[in-house]
Amino acid sequence: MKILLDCDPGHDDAVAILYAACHLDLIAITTVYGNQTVDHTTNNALRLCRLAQLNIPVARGAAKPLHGPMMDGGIVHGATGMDGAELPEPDRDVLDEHAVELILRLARDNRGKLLLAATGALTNVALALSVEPKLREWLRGITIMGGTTGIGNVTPVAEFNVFCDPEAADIVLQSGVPIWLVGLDVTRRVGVDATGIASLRQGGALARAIADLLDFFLASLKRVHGLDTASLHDPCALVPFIDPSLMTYQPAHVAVERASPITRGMTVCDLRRLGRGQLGHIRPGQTPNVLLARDPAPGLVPHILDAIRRVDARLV
Amino acid sequence: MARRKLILDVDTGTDDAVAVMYAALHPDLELIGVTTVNGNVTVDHCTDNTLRVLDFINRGDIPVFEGLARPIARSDFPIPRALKKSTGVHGTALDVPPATSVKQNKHAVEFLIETYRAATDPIVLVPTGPLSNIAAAIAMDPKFVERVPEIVLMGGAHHHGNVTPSAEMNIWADPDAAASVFAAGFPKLVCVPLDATHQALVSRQVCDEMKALGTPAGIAAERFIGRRIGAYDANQPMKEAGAAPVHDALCVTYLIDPSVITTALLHVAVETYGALTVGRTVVDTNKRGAGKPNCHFAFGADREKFCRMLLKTFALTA
Repeated sequence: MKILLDCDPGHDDAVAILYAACHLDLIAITTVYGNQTVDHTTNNALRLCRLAQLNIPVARGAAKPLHGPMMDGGIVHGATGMDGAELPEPDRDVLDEHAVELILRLARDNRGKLLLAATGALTNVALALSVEPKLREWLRGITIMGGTTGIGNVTPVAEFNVFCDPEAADIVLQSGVPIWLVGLDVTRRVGVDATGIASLRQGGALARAIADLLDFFLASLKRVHGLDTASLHDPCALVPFIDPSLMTYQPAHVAVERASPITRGMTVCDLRRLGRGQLGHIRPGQTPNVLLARDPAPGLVPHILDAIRRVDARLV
Repeated sequence: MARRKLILDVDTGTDDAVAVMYAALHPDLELIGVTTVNGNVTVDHCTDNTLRVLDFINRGDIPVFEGLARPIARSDFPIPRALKKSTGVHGTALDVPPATSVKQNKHAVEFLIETYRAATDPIVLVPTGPLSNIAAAIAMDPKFVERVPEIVLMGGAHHHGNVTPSAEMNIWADPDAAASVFAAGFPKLVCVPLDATHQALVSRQVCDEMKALGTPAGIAAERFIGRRIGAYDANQPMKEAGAAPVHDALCVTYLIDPSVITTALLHVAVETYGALTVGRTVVDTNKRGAGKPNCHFAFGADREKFCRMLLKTFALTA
């Protein structure tokens, strides 16, 4: 299976890029605003590709959401979006194509074979689905890091990626494409602690750079959210396609709240157990539109760290 | 004089159809393509209607590209189409024979981006439907805004709306897209709202003159505008009976004679939140806001000139 990663690097996006490069046929990276401006996230993707010696095309994507003002993740990810490590200057430029054009071209050329992994705001993916309705037939599926069934990180109930562009997120979730969704409630349980980060320092330049990034990320998450591990949010989206035994998923209907000022950007996940027969005042459930991640396996964090070491070890 | 190049972005639609015919037949205009968008009718019918009209006036050579099937950010209109009362202004299929021409494979937004990327001459962009395609092009190409020298769009209203008390259909149908277009900073943006189009009514008598021309365009225009007059008289009466606005056509005649409308350069923004006011063009007529003027907003139109221009062009055949 071929994979295109649409992301906003981003510390945990960087780990997702390496996790995909280690285990999957990663054929392209597209970028979107979010953790920082799209200029920064694109630059970060190119820098990481150089350091990790990944010869993967990168296309720049959307600079702002479909509606409303842009979010700025700088409080967590720093002024560059990937503060904390010295990564080399890019040794190449992005493609002339826009991210949306690249998504459409690769999906058209790999009908039924391309998996789209989205670990940032869903603006590019929503635009692609709007511009080319056939995309929903061409894609093998979309796997997403975003949303939450419980606690949020931007508001009490909304997670950052979905809050960045709630309209886009809902367009993607209701698209009819097979969707895997892993939310903050799960990825907060996939965190690496200081010891785990330190273990990467025995490796080469790439592993040490990722350790620097994760140290910065952990310090941010400790300061902003009071966490004691660095959540590896974005690589979680790739787990079902690398080792399904490392994460359980269940069918659910998920929609995004867009109107309420209090709950805007909340992923409303229907996890009720409804009996058959008369429901009375109980609103019926809708047909599940996603596979929703529920529980990570204990071996997941070591598995992700191991991928970083493996990509590091193959550098020349 | 070199012919003026334009692209029409339409939701055909009876008034779009009149605009398409004017642009396709006027000797000083070169209509290089037509893109379609969800609006007056669903986008597949907009495309089919556009092809029908072009075929009927023997301009089936002009390529038609289908665009967005829904608003850029919303899953539907602010009120779902199924719940919105039809006024009968457009029907579904236009009253001309089915087309033999077919739409292009390329998507409207890709056509817009690629055409402006490659353009060496100025091409005016004339959107007369919801602005979904234009907003998508802005989102997908950071240089799109600077590459489009002039936009002349039909949409918006200052004094009163049509689909709601405060909003006009094209802006209301995709307010988020419209907000993006008005805020984008295009070098020149001309907006032809209801304030102008409701002054440029076409009467039953002018329709009869169009039919008497005996040309395909004259015959078709009489049918399309005749339908509009019936629907307006029944559901949305104008200041005189037996006459209707032909909104979108006014945009295209402006390219030939700018004096067909009177404009003021003002700041215009689009309301995207209000339950009562979603889709309203908020025109800063008294310069109370901090926004810089971004739009030549038309408050008036020269009805006689407009009708004469339509009659003169519809006398022509391709």
